[in-house]
Amino acid sequence: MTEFILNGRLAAADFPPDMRLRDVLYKLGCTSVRDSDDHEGFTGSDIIIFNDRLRSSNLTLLYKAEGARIRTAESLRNGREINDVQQAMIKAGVVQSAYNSPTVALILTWLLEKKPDASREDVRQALSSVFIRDAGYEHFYLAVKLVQEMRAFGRYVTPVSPVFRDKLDYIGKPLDKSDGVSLVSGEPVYVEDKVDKDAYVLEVLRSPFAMAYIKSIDTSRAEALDGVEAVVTHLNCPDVYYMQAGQGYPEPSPYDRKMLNRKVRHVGDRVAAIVARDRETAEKAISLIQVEYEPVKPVFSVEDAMAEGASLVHNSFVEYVSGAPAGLDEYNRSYDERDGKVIYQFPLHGDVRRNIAAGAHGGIGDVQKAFDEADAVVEETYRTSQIQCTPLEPHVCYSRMENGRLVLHCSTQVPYHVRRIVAKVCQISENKVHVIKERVGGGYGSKQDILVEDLCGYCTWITGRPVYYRNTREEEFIANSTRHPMRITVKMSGKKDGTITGIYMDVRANTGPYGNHCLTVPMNASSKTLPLFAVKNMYYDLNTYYTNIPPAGAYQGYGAPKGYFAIMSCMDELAHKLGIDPLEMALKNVVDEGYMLDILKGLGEGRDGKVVPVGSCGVRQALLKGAEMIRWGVREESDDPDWAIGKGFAMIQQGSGLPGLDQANAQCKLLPDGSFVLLSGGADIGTGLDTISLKIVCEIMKVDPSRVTVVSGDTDSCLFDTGAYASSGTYFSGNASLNAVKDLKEKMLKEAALQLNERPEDLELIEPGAVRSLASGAELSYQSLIHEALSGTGRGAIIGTGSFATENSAIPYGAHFAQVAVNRKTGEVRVQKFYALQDAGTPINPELALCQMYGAAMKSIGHTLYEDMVLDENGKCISACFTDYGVPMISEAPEDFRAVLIDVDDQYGPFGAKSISEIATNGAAPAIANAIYDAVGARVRSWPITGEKILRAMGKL
Amino acid sequence: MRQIISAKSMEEAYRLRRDLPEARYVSGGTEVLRLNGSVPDATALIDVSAFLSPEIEKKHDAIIIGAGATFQDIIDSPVIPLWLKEACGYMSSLALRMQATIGGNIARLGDDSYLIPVLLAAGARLKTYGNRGMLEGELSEYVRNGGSRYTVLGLTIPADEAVSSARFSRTAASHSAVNMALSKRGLFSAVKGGGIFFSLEEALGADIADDITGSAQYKKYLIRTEKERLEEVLND
Repeated sequence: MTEFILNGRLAAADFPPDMRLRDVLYKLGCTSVRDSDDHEGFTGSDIIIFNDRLRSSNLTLLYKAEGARIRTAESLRNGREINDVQQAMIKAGVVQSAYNSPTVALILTWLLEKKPDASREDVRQALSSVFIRDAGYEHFYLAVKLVQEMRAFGRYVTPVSPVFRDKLDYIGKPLDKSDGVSLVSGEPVYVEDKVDKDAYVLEVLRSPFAMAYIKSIDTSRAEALDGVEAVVTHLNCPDVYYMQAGQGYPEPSPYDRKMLNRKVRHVGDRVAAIVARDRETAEKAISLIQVEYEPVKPVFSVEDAMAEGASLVHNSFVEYVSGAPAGLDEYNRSYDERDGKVIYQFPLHGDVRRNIAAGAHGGIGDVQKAFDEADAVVEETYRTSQIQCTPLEPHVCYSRMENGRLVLHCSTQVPYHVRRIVAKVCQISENKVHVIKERVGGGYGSKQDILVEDLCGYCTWITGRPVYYRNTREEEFIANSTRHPMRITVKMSGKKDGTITGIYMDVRANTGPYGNHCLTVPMNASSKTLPLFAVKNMYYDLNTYYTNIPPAGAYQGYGAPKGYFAIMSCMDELAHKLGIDPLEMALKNVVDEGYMLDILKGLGEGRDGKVVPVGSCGVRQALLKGAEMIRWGVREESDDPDWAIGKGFAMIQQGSGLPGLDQANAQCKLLPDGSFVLLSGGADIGTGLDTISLKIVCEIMKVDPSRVTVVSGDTDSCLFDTGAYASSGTYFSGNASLNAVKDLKEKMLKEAALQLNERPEDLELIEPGAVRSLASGAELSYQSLIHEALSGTGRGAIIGTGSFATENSAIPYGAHFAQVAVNRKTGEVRVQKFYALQDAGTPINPELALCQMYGAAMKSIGHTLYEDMVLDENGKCISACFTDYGVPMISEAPEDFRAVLIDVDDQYGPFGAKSISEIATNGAAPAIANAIYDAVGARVRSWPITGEKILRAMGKL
Repeated sequence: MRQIISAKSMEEAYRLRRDLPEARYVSGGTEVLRLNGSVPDATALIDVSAFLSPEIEKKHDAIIIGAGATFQDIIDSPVIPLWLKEACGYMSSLALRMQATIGGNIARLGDDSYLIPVLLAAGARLKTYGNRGMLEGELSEYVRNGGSRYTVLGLTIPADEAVSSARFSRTAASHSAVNMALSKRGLFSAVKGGGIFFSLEEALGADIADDITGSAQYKKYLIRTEKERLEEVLND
């Protein structure tokens, strides 16, 4: 028994003395103390105050706590009241996916106890132990400032964001995030907190080979082990082909896998799944499984995959659900049955006999003629690397049976795709599956893929046992989705006056072992870049290759960050070649509202694209304002002659969901006391989507937020939504909520008209929740209204239903500017200034929008300069932990970091809103690369732009 | 369950280690308990924190630092020279700095060591305990011997030594490619994939691996190039 003072009270922990203190504290109910790095001591999720000092509870064994005074974030809350630091964090907008929010609140509380006037540097030091992926780091300084202001003046002085739309009460104004209190307090709101004590564990035996056939597998000794419930291999798993990308059905990705396959295709691929009563038993069982492999020479790069005689990753039997090409029988003569099948839902221009998973081609005008007639042409190849999403909460699932149904507690961006795919692999109907999306501790695209729910759900279905699965951090690196590495060649031509006359993009993407998003992500390299240019001659070729690297998939921005790195770097190179200011060239060639986007015709992602004009567009304002802020054209001089300073920028765009493909639905109910519940199919992954729905109800129904509850992501209670990806949340799910609330309003007015004996058109809604007649002045409270409707003589419940599907686009635009200092002797780079300017239409949650811009830009800075998944010659990732991989911490944040919302109203978005966060991943790479060139004349065309590469580009190595 | 023994004295700790050859000492725990750390999970641990002094004191022209002092203790101490505070600050995480002891970090002798280069440059002396009892000697000797099984009890550095240092890593929290320090004693470096070197020539002539921190050519270039800047800093 170990005794210590925990949050002011004596605690007696009856656990082994060598147990990690983190695990003990969690078991004692301190759910704020989390583990996101498998005790690497890196991310800070496990930090506590231990004898008045910060300490990693994961790197502390229980015996060490004897007699200690320990504080966790649970100490910050008094009953239902959170402390002023937690309040300020919510106000500042930093509580997003929030896996580390409680630990940050604890650290900042401790800091302000020690130093009430803590400076920016004090905050930076205090948060040096904490990795934040979602909100960047900038508004944490603001949160501390707000606390100091509240303590000094009794009110917040510094605005947390600008406000938008004066005539609206809630839209465009900061408002505490609806789940902020529970998240910042560390309440048990994540999947791991829902696991029953008697849950079984699932462990996966993974392939040590990058590519091999399983010649034999003997699981008999594992199955005989006491406590082992099931062992699943390719021999006994369902003969069901599917794919793990959570895309709308029918998916533009091939069904190229079963749950477990006879051929393993990457180091870390599934070989066997073991369900056991505890982890020790599962690990023992894994050690008892005997596997004989027949290795195949792997291919790792696009070049490897393209090479004559290269090993085939999927020498499979190819089928098409529709649109099968002629000669398919002949094509299939050479398949190897051990490779299984590849089933295309419709043609994607794949050719598995050449390792091509998908392809696309298209364009406008005559690029060759443009190149022939140009004053200058630049043709260069740019390479992007494999990047891990690194959500703090790894991929996790808890599945259990209830009343004959399979219930899955998930951390997912796509609850309805989870339901569909799990039902498919279990070979049951969707009504037998209930998916509950818990709070999501970071997704960034990787939780758009059904990477663990399929196996976990299946194991529960066959065993009837509650099963818990959670990726280790290493598994996050080797068996998860990542950014597709790409090789993009851009050829761009121009005239002496700065007019760009032609652009050609040759995109070669590496999808790894399976074809998740193999068309859509690489397509974005062109489809989200070319439409930004008012250029008459543009063409692209795209081919995506299978290889044996760890799996690729969705990551915030899809392929756009890669495309922008290439196209904006190339434009910078062309401008320099023509002797023109790159900003001038951008302004001369960027689209404006009304410009007809003929290029969209060939950018339909597997279908014909619809040509539309540019809608609301703030890119020109962003370029001009950003240039002014960074003093574009002014050469900055360093005090230290070793350091040179340079500036760069990128103009950017993204999308808001997938018009023509996505759909969202919502319902809004008037409760018996006149309050509201909105049921949204949308999946809030920490970004504040629920708060958007809440604000919509408040705005239209004229009620206080305390009278509105949003329930989302539950497939039983909520209606279908394609999910939170492709920047669809605000536009699609938000519009569905808006339509539901409008429908409810109409029904309420109709009912009120009957009750008041008036005409609906004479009625309006007024604060704080009543119907008023413009004709008679009569008022009817919502409570009275619904009470009558639900009475024995009433006309029934009043429910609004809304759906949203569209062919219209609401495209966000922007420009990112960077100022860097580069050491001429060592190649070191410091990002001195980074300004992200974006047109998000009407930012419904402006403070959250700013933090998402900081977070996304920070991710992109990381991809550009630091992060790197490095494989050895056998395909094993040798940077499969945070320290080796190199995510940016607060030390890497730009010294002067600003996010600016350009005020543009959109005609299609809810209240004029567009998407916000994905676009913010697009600018950093080209802006920084161009700034480095501006500083020292070194052009680095591959990620990450390391000091070593800069030195090589400068000819010093 | 992992065996944990809390030793009350150095003698007891040494005896325990002799009886349990596979056991490791633990104090702060940031290295021993860390994922991918140097100690396997099941290894028995001998906790030495009860008798390792965290004291830092100045005596005449020397500063004596107990092996139990944490990195942050050193940064916060008024008697510690700036060059050592800077080196302790190379450990970027405040929480780790508040937990990691200087003794543990020295004993690790990592090729990305935060402290070894500056301490070598300063001519630090170590107090250790081993099979010949308590010993005091040059850190350089300890490093050259690969640390041996002597336990670090503390170190002494000159109070007025001038040392300049530099650390090169992709991010503040990443492994360093090169950590180097210069003083009148010469240039000392810890080079990832190479080891700890006692001179420029030794580092440049060494067999250094290409790894995730950079190529051998890059690391040697940094050592060669940065030496000039460190000389300027030192002369200033």
